[in-house]
Amino acid sequence: MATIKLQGNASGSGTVILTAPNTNSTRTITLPDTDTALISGAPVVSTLNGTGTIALQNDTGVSSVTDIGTGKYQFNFSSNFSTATYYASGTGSHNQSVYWEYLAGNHQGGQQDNTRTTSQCKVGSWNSGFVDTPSVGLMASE
Amino acid sequence: MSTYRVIFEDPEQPEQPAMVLVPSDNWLEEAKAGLLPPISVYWALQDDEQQAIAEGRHDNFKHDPAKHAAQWTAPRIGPLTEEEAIEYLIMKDIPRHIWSVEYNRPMFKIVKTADVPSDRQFRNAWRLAA
Repeated sequence: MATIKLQGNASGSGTVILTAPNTNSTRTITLPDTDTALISGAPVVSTLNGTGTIALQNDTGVSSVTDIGTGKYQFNFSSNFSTATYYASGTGSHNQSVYWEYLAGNHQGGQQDNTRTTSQCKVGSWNSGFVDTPSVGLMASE
Repeated sequence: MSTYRVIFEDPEQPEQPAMVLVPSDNWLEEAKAGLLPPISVYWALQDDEQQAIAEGRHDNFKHDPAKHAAQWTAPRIGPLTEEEAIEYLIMKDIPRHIWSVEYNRPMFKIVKTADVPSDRQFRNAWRLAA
């Protein structure tokens, strides 16, 4: 029979408490048969204003953003994902009245950055060339 | 909003205009509250991933579970001032060859937010002033 071992941490002094839910049922949590951490990179949901002096608007899971150049932005994550194959979708609005400003697909480059690493992901805005855009977003999770 | 921005250039990409690092307010609050791990935790992850990229195995690369978990399990370094947090952020989010190597001119500069131009008409011509 395989066993379960709970192990403390000699460096810490706090108490870790496992709490049961308010239930009358028997619940089973099955652990994966692999070496892994139960915690992983937090989901990233972030938006910025890519015009004027670049400013983050929503920075969940982000430590900073890098303004790389016209229409190019890089989101740097607060904590690294475990792999670089996490889902990442970048998008943005377009500041041109003759187009629908919510039809982002016609004006985007790099919906999912293939050069992304576990710590950063780039989002670009394209319309014949890179263009600044007033609202750039990234959603990433694994 | 943070008082500071970091402007930097990448000597390995001389055609690339100067870049601007914008700190996250939430992250700065965590830094001031003393919730960050030692910077060496992030460097260990960066080293492993860069080696995987160099060896062409990034597509199926996975961080060592213990090193990855250290982002949350390593002892915290304690509260930082905003200035110390910006220095930490430089070491975390700007490529190491930019700030750890001495060049014949500065490759990065910490500036006040108000000193970053808001007119982006010639954004791709921005250079770091000496």
